[in-house]
Amino acid sequence: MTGVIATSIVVMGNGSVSVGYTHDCAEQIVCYHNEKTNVYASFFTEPSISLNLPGYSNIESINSGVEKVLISEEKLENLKKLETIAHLKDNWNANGAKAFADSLITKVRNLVMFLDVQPEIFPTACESLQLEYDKSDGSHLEIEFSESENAEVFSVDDKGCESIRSICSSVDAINKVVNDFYG
Amino acid sequence: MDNTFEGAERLYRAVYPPSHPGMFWKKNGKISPSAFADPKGLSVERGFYRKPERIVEKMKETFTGCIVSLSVQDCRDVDAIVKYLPSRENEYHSEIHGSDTVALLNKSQRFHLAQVANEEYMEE
Repeated sequence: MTGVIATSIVVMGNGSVSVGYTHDCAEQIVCYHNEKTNVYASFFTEPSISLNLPGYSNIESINSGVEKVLISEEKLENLKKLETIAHLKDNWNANGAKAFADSLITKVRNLVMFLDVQPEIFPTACESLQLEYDKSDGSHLEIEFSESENAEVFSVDDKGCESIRSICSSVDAINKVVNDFYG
Repeated sequence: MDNTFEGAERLYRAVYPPSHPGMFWKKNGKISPSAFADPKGLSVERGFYRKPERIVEKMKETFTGCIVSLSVQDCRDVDAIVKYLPSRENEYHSEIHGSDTVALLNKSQRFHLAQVANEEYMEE
C-alpha cells in the first residue's frame, strides 16, 4: 500500500473493526479512546501502527492491563478484508451461500491479530473462512475455520505430498502449524 | 448435447462475489482453492465446441464477477465428476462434483483445480 502515511483502526463494541487510511499527514501521534471498548488507535509515519487492546497479550504490557499489539500493513489488509467478508450477504456466490456468522468473523479476526506470519484470507461457500500460506517452492498450507472448535489443516509440501488433519483453533496451535510450515 | 464430455472440453466458472474481483485471488496471481468449495457442487458452463470469447460474452450477460476455465480432463485427473445438468435458463449448465455421491470437492481436488484454472475474464 504505497503512499499511505497513517492508518487508523477502530474496534467497535460489537467486535467489528474499521480500518482506515489517511494520506499526507504530518508526523503526529494521535490516540483515540472509546469508553465502551477501551480501544486506542495510534497514527505513525512508520509502516506499522500500535493498537492497545485490553484482554490480549502479545508483546508487552504498557499500563494497567492494556497490552500493546503491533499492526503491520499485512495485518491491516487482512482486517480490512475480513470486514469486506463480514458484509457479504446471503447468496453472495449466487448459489445459496450464507452470510458469515459474526462469531466466526470475530474468531478469525482475533487469530489474525496475533499470528506471527500473516496469511491470505478467503471465504468459502461452506460457511467457513480459509487462511492460506504459499511458498515459492510450491508448498501450500491452508487452515479452514468454521464455527467448530477445531480447524482443518491441509498442506502440500514441495514434493507434492499432501496431508490433512484437525487441530485446535487456538492462536498457539495455529502459530505452531505456520511456524512448522516455514521451518 | 448429453452427459458425454470429451477430456478437452472446457468448463467455465463465474467467480463471485461481484464488485470484489480480488476476493479469491492470491498475491502470487493464482486463484485460491477456496473458490472451488461449494457444498452444492461447482456450477459451470460447459464449452461444447463454442469459441471461448463467445462463451465469456454470453456468461457476462447473465453473471457478474470473474470467469475462469478448467478442462474436463483437469477434473478427471483429480477424480472429480463432471455432470451435465441443464436448467430451464441454461442448456449448457453443468456441475463439477467431488464424487458420484458427494457434491463438495475435497481439499486436494480444490487445490489442484486452482493450480490449473485458466483466467478467462477478470472484472476490473
